Amino acid sequence: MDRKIIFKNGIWILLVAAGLVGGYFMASSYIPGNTAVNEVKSDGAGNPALPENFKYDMAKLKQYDPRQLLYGEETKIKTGLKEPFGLTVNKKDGRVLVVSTEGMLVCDGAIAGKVAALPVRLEGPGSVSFGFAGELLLAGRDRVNIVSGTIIGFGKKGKGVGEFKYITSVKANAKYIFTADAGNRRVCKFDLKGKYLGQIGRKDKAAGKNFVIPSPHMDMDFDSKGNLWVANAGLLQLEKYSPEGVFVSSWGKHGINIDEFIGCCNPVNFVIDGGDNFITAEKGVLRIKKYDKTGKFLGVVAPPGTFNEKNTSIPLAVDSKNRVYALDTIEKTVRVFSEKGY
Amino acid sequence: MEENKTKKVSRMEFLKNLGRGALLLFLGITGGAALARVKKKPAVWQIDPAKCIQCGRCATECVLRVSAVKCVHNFSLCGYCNLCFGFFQAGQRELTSGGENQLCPTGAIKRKFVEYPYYEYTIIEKLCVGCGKCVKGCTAFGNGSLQLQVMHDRCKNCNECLIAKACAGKAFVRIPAEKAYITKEGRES
Repeated sequence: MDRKIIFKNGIWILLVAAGLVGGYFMASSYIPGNTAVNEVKSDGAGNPALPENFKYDMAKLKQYDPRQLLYGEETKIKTGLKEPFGLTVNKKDGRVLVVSTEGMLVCDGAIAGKVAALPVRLEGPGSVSFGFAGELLLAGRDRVNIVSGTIIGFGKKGKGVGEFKYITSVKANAKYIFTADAGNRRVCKFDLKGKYLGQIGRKDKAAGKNFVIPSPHMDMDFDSKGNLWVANAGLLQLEKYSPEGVFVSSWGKHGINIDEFIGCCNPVNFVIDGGDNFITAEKGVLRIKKYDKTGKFLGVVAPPGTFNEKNTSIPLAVDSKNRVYALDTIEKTVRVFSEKGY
Repeated sequence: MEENKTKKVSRMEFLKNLGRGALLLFLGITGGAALARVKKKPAVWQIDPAKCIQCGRCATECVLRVSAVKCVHNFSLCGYCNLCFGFFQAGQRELTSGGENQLCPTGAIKRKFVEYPYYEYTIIEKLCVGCGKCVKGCTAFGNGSLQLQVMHDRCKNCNECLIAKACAGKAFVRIPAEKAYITKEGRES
């Protein structure tokens, strides 16, 4: 066939193909829907703004008296981790550990360190702390690992004995390991080798206190006498348990004032410093506050507006100098606050 | 051979080819559009709850007199809180359903006791104006189980949705009509 004819027909075919493709994409990007909305009288754009009682005034809830500010920010450590979730301080050597599922940052006090590999693989976020003898307790969502010379792991996903749904805190004293499981709304007690010993928090009130945990926030810490304190966030209280796990007392009240816990479920995190003072972190209105050992409000560590508003928890730690370390999980930084800095 | 190469195309022939080309292009476009229409599934407007910042414009910008946007309650995320900040005014006097304690300006949330200390919250749809005040409280303080959604039993599915144009969080998206609602399932607060 004549080359010219082939060329000519080729152009026609190309034109049809171009039309097909163009038509397809034009029709694909067209948003289908009704065009006739004229039957409805438009109250659309240009309407007056909502009356004040239709607006949520968060600014009012963030107010505080600057004279109540006890701490100042000393430094900010960039973690370099993608999704950090755990923070702890080894009070013996001053090492600060920030943990994510892909690695951990080891800092020498407030001086930033390097990211290292985790000694064990973690499935989902959990918690981290140092045990009584300096062993590392590393928890994923449903498994706890005791890392010293060797690694002992225990736990699996479930509701049964020794099983976990959502670990939010793991702490150990000289005799026991305690785990706070927000998913199962209970605190479990294990020996130092991971053998299950019992639990705190059941619906049967005779068997122990009932934890009200509406969201995945349930923190714990020990005071200087070895008592275990647990944040019963749904009741907006901190509860004291004996070293054996028997309920002793509680403190905390709800409200919008600075000395109260705001929202449905706070404090989301807390830590006890060397003087048995409580450092608490709240969500909703993100703020860190300080209470004495009886629950009396002392002042503000970090006022509202300090942290990225997208944070839903602020993991806390204190060192031997009572400096407060707070993890901003959105900005991926550790904020260090000290009384001296103010 | 040489003659062929130098042969000029007449004006008539040029116009003929042009017309033929235009016709073929039109046929192609029509065919392609028809093919796309056959393959394309109908779409509707919806609010992505992850992007919604509760700016309040859903209540004022919709062409309907009472907005097609309503608050819906995702019970699977709810903590059934006693002190629900989506229901109660911050600084409420007491935890009762008294009007002075309620956050919702139209009283569109019903509080029902389940067992101590848990309560169930249900949206009374006909009273809801889609202002998002309760959504803001629940998102900030709770689990974010209250969320705004375009209700398709009343939405006119306008090509140019006025709320989508005004949305401060750019949360309005087109999604397939067969999955007309977006939930926050699997997300943590």
